[in-house]
Amino acid sequence: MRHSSRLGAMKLKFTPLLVGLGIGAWAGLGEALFHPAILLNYAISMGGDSADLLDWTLNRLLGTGFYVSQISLEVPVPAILGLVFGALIASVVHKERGPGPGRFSFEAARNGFLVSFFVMLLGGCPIMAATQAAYGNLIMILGIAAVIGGAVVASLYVKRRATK
Amino acid sequence: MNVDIFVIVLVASTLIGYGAERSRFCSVSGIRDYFLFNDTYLAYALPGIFVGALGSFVILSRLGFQMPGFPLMASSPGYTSVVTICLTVIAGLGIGFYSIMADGCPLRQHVRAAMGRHYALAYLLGFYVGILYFYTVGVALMLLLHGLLPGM
Repeated sequence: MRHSSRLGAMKLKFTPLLVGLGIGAWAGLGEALFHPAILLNYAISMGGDSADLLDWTLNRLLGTGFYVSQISLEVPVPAILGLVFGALIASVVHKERGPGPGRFSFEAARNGFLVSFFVMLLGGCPIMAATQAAYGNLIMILGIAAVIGGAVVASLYVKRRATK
Repeated sequence: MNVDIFVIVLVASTLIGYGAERSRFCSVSGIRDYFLFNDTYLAYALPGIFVGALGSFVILSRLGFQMPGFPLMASSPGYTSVVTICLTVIAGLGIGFYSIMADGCPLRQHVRAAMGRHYALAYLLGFYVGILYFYTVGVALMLLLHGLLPGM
């Protein structure tokens, strides 16, 4: 199923390839324009930016001492807020808001917990791993290959479970 | 961080969030869709990020913008450490496996949560608890591993 969106008079079709190219290009632009202390920190990173946002908030509200990257010391990088805000706008404009088929379950929380632990262990989500791999980081090239490997194993597991 | 950068990052990420919602963007589900349904629609997401990033790094560095150390290759941090390599492989496999089991990567789950999906809200609860758990337990575990296996 393919989606399209009307932005003013221009009809723009968003595809995963286009959004992926945009995220990648944004990583390069962020690096070129801002020269961050930490490589690619302004790009979308579901691990680093989420951690900074959470830790910064907890440190401010509760006085805890969780680690926050240099760039987010005063104000956290707003990438996660922008991402959620953009998705919220799209879902409201196109009337796609709703609870969906899944439930608020322990299984979902457990999956989230495990993914975030492994994301922090790797030092970035698949998006950050792909941008770092494009930068020539050998560890992240290995990391993204492992992510693909894990996804293949899970897909085969799901397929096998479904055919039993 | 100054106000200009804050606003630019916010606008760029809002556009990405909008596009991600409209396109059902997910960085790992394309692999599952390809293996299970022979559907390649989402499969271009991850290569798209790689190609977009590589293209922008090459073009912008040719235009004279600073890209410190690009391409990193032999100067990549930690690539000679066996411990780092093992942890990277374990982490990557874990992300791939559990993202498929959760029906989407962290970005997709944030987008779904913004759409009001209950499953994604539970996922994000676990996701943020996992971050805190990593900072309290995981970091200590990693330091212990590196300390137990010196010179590797």
